[in-house]
Amino acid sequence: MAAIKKILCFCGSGLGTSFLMEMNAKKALKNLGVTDVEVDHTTIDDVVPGAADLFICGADLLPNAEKAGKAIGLDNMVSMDEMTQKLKAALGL
Amino acid sequence: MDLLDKKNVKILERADDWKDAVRKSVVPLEEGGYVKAEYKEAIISGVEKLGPYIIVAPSIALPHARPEQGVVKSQIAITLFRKEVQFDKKDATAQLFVALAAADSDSHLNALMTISEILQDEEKVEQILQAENEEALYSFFN
Repeated sequence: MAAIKKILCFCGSGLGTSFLMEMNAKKALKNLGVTDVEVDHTTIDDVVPGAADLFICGADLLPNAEKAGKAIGLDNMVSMDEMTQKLKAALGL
Repeated sequence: MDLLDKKNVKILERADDWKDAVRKSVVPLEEGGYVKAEYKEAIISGVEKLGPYIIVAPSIALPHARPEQGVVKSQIAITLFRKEVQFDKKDATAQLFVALAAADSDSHLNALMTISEILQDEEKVEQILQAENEEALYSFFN
């Protein structure tokens, strides 16, 4: 599996939910002891192949993300538990 | 909390449908001059296009669109509907609508961070959904 160095969280507008996910992803990575991964947030328009090694979005937008690459869909975008578990699985920890 | 005015925290019995709920949740922002009339319609067309992505957690929606879609000044309004609002998708329901107007990409981030921290606590969310009155609802966010 290719190493994940860049994670892009996105939502429809790139302002609200994507930012919530970015914060939680950063927190979760810190808790997992992962320090060398860059996390950013953006709008769905920037989700193209190669833009990131892993995309994170709400479960509704997952099909869009999977077209661009490896992706995680969240049912609860404020849940730290779900974020941590899914990141763990995606990073193979 | 930053960007949340007490008079913009409302409790309503119900909405006709999810579009009505979005419009109602944006009313305080519109009346306060924080967004133009087109903002609520931009949120609705976003959801029609992409699905109910504004539902960020069980029972919680964060209606918002882009700054250039009608935002004048950053602000937040919170509306609690006593009756669950159903979106056009199975299991997609919400009661608490946190309408967000972001004038640029960072002036609203502190407020959003505070909201996220509050909503991460499931017990607190339960209490928020049962809030007795607008005063009590406001106090959860302040």
